[in-house]
Amino acid sequence: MHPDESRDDAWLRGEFHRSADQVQPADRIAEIRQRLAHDGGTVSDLGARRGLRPVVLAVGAVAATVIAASVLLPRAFTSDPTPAPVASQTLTESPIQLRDPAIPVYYAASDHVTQSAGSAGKLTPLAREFHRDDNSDRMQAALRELSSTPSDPDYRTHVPAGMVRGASKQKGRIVIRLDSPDRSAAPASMTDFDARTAGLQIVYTVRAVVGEGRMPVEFRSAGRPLESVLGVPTRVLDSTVDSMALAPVNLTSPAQGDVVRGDTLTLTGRGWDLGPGSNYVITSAGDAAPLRQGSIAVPDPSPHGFQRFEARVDVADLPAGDYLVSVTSRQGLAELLPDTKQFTIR
Amino acid sequence: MPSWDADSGLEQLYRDHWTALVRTAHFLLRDLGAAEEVVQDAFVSVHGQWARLRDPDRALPYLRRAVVNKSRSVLRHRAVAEKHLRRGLGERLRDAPDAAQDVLADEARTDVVTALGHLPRRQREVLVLRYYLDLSEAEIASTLGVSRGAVKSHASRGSAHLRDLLGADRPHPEES
Repeated sequence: MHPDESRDDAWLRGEFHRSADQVQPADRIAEIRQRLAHDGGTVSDLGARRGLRPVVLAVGAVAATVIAASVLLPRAFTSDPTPAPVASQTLTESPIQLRDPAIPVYYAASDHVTQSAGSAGKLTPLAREFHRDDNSDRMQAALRELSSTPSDPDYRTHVPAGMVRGASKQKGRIVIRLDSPDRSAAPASMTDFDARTAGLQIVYTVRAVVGEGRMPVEFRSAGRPLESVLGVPTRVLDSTVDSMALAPVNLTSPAQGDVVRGDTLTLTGRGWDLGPGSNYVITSAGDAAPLRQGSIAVPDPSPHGFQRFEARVDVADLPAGDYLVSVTSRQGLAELLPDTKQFTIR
Repeated sequence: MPSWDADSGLEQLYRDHWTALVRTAHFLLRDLGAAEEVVQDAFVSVHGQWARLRDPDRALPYLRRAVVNKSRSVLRHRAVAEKHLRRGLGERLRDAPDAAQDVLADEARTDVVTALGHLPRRQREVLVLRYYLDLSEAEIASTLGVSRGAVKSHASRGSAHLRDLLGADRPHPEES
């Protein structure tokens, strides 16, 4: 007990510490290191970064590979022998070229549809973009972006503006707060498929921001849990598997509208079933003739989980101008769904 | 504290204080994700200010101030966002509970975090620094940029208010 402390003070102190003990922060040291690496870091790090950066992307939302990020870390930090699993997951989600942290946001990937199993019908698969976050509250920024226009013109959002008021991790689940209990009902202006896509956009985005994998989610409004969202049972949104919800391939870098300077274009992204035949094609923006093409197949493709891919493309002799890069997995379910981005070489 | 460079100093601070600072921010914000972001920002800030701090012992007080100030910014931003949301959605939302009430309703029990939400911001800050971080009046005054008298006043009113809010769970004198 502190000097001059009353019994009530000691009791209050105990209450604070008991309450605090229930809060278990995630390890964020990797994110801090990463931000320092591109915010300035140390003199020796800056020298290393200049030599190792594979490509400079001037604008837009971009992501880095684990390999790229790890070689850019300050020396003092890379020696940490105990990297945390949560932090390492976040590391792969974050950009290294931007000064501000990027936030992952899921959108409906174009008009293409994939046939889902059973009677659930069709839903638009989701693709992820990384957006700038100039606000310290990443979740709020992500929720705002959910209802904004995606960078990729092939993507769209079905989440009504203002619908999601907040989301936070609480006791092993993510609680998502909606603006009104009326959001339980299916809106007349939305198809069942779009409603389900909207719900999945929300679920996948908040999970990505929390960064702890497939955490259970709970929708609430006015302090009460909701059994359905936009007419879709919440248990369906919570349990939809990745292979049904996510686009078979998602190109992360380059992002839509990126500017590439240099001789090498590094393609990064993720997909499933990336077997032989999974490939990329680069064309001029105004001509469908392939200028570059190659494989993005991974050595051990898994139909049950997403895998990252990376390909380096020599673009030294491509003239300055606008280009399209399209990446396709070997097989889709009902149809292939390529992911296409426009980028500019200068 | 030995003389460290910014990187190794930050690592040491992280190991020793990350958890406590996030929990501090959680008391102020009631949102773990936001609390982690705030403290992460604070660590990046202190790294950038390392040369100016000169004395490594000043790094921790700087971190605490940064956490409190950034938490205030988040709360201000929330208030502005709420205001715009209400203005945009009109009558229907005006009748709905605000975000703070929503959070309170989410919690079935009245714990310290929930009860703190009923206190004015300054009282909340003083109580968290006093009862969780165990700071002295002088340290609290320095962290918040107020006088020791103000700390004493906020602590007195805040703790009385908090005891009332937690009254149901408070042990009788003969139990302790």
